[in-house]
Amino acid sequence: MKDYSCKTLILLCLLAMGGSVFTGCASVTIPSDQYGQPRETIRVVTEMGTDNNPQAKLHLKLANDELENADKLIKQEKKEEAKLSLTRAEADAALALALLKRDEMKSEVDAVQEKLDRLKKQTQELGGNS
Amino acid sequence: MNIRPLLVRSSLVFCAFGLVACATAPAELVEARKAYEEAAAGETATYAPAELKTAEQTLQLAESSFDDEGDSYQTRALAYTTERRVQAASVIADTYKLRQDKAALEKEYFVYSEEARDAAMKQLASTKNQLAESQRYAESTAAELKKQQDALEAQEKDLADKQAKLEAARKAGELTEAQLREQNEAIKQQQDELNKKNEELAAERKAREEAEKRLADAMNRLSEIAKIDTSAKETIITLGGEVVFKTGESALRPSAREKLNQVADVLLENKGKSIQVVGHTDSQGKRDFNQKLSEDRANTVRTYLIERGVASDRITALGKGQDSPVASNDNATGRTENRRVEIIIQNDNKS
Repeated sequence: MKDYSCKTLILLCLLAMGGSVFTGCASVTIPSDQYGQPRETIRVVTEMGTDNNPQAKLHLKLANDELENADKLIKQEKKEEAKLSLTRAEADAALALALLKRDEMKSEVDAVQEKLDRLKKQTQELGGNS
Repeated sequence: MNIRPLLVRSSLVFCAFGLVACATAPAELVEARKAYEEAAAGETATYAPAELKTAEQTLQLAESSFDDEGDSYQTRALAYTTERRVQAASVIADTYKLRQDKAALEKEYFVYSEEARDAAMKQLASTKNQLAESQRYAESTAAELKKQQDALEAQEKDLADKQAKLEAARKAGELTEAQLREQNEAIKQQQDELNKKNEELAAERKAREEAEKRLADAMNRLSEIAKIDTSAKETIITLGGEVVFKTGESALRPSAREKLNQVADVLLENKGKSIQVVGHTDSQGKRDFNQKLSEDRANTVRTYLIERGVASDRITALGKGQDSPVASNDNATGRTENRRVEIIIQNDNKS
């Protein structure tokens, strides 16, 4: 009776551990937004173009490399590591996007400054002709 | 009981714990911490607080991972992500500041374009006035000359008629020789007077033309160094304060004398007209000081013009201090325009 109870107990523990392993493996899923977000950001950065910003170009490449790495890890069932790679990919892509947006704003500031300088010059010329 | 294996196993466990506790943080985590600290102490915390907060949360995850697992793949990946997020937050802060710069420039452009439009409208009105004045002057001069010409022609015709009548009378034998001579003498005298009047008229016309030319030349020369605004009521010659005086002083610069000589030339061609010299300052400094400075400067210019021959009873001086600006005192360009001396010629004659 005592031996039977001990064996049963051990078996139940093993089953619980095994179950938790399977449960643990089955519960590591990658949310669809975590999978899709870096791809979307990379797409936007690629469309904006990184030819004029070497730093953005570098981070876009890093993001693409991490995405490729994530896909490999998913195939290898290493989903925790894949999630980390996707996080890195999103961080690099987001940085590339921020750099390009800063460039855009700089261009807008320069355009307004040029418009103001042109107006001041025209006004001075008009004043000189009076 | 043999406790030796137990002691060895315990020692190994403690060493393992010790190794984990003393593990050095990976380079990625060290860099991430440093980047975060720098960003949190700078403008990123002001202009991109939300993004910096996200980076902070990632850093906390990396620190927890390091505490639990040491230098693991997860720790390094989270540290890497932290550093990228800190960099992104700094770039976003820069973009925010640039957006503020753009808004400030757009506001300045709007204000400046309003001022430029007003200045252009004012100049257009002034030019229209000048044109109207010139036209009126030309018309009145032409009308006057025509009137004098008509009067002379009428006199000539009258004389010709008298001569014709005399001749006819002589032929008809109605007048004696003596009477005829007397009549002829009277006609000759009238003819001489007429000729004299014609010569005087021609001389007056010529003198007027020469005076107009001298005035035009003087105004042209003056317009190269001063701003001139003409209306039906007055002509305003504006000289920049810094051209004539040193900053804060009322003594003339040596180089200003030549410019004031040109002003004096114009004033001497505008004989009989009242002149007022008005000093102006910008709004920097004390009001009392600015008022006195403007009065002293106006008086200095008046004194110099009198020395150059302008009649002292024609010219007065007035200081208006900072009370009549022509531009904004909020920027250097506007303040320069406000520091000025105006010489105002009234266009109605004071004879």
